[in-house]
Amino acid sequence: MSDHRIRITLDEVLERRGMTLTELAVRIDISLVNLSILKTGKARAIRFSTLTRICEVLDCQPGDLLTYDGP
Amino acid sequence: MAKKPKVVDALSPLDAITSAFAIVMIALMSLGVVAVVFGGSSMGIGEESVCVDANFSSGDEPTADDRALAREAFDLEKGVTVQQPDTVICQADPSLAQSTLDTLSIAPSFVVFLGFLLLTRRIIRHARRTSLFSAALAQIIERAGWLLLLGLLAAAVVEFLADGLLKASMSSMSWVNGSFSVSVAGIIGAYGIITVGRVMLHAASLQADSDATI
Repeated sequence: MSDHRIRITLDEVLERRGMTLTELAVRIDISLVNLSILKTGKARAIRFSTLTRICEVLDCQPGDLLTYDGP
Repeated sequence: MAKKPKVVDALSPLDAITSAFAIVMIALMSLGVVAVVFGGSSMGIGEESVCVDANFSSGDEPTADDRALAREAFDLEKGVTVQQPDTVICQADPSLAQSTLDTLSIAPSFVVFLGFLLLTRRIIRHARRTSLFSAALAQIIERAGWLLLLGLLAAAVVEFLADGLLKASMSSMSWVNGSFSVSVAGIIGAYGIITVGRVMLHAASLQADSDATI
């Protein structure tokens, strides 16, 4: 069970940009498996370098990708 | 076409050495069993006579006459003293109990050593199959350390008791004592293995965090 309330909203941003997960994986040079783990919220942490590359490609802010779900 | 980088399996040589060693040990044990079946002896089993080293206790040091006799026998130079040499006492026609005690005064250390060797092989195989840093592997390593530590102590106690009982069955003299000897290097090694297992357990959680970081 997850010990945090941070939700990844990558799929929403991707939808707004009209980009697929596979395309993003190629453009930021990360395996589709790892990106899928991130999208489904199964990752324990995200590197600043990964976040930077995603934000560069999707032209967004880190806050657009992460949401805090309150209790 | 780019040449594929060669993947080095660091544990492969260790696996080969440990396996070969275990096979040799098991082969020797099997040969021992065959020897016993065909009238030979192994680890005290099937011996025609049972012999033990009899140690002098501190209160029964050799007398001046004993020393003088030994000096004459060994033709010693002036100033050279004689320490009590080991005395070996043998029972030419041992009973079943004496033969069993003889085996018990030798075999436990061998069994612990063989068990540890097989467990080491299992650890190496597990590490090759899964990951070098996993909680399961760390726990197996710690367990191997405890097995070695407690096994060595238990083997030493069993051998001490068996040795003492065997000597007591062969002589009622007070100078005949069981000899307690435990491998200090083995105990230190076991403590080291337990420590490595504990450290690896913490490293495994860090590795899991690292693996789950995107």
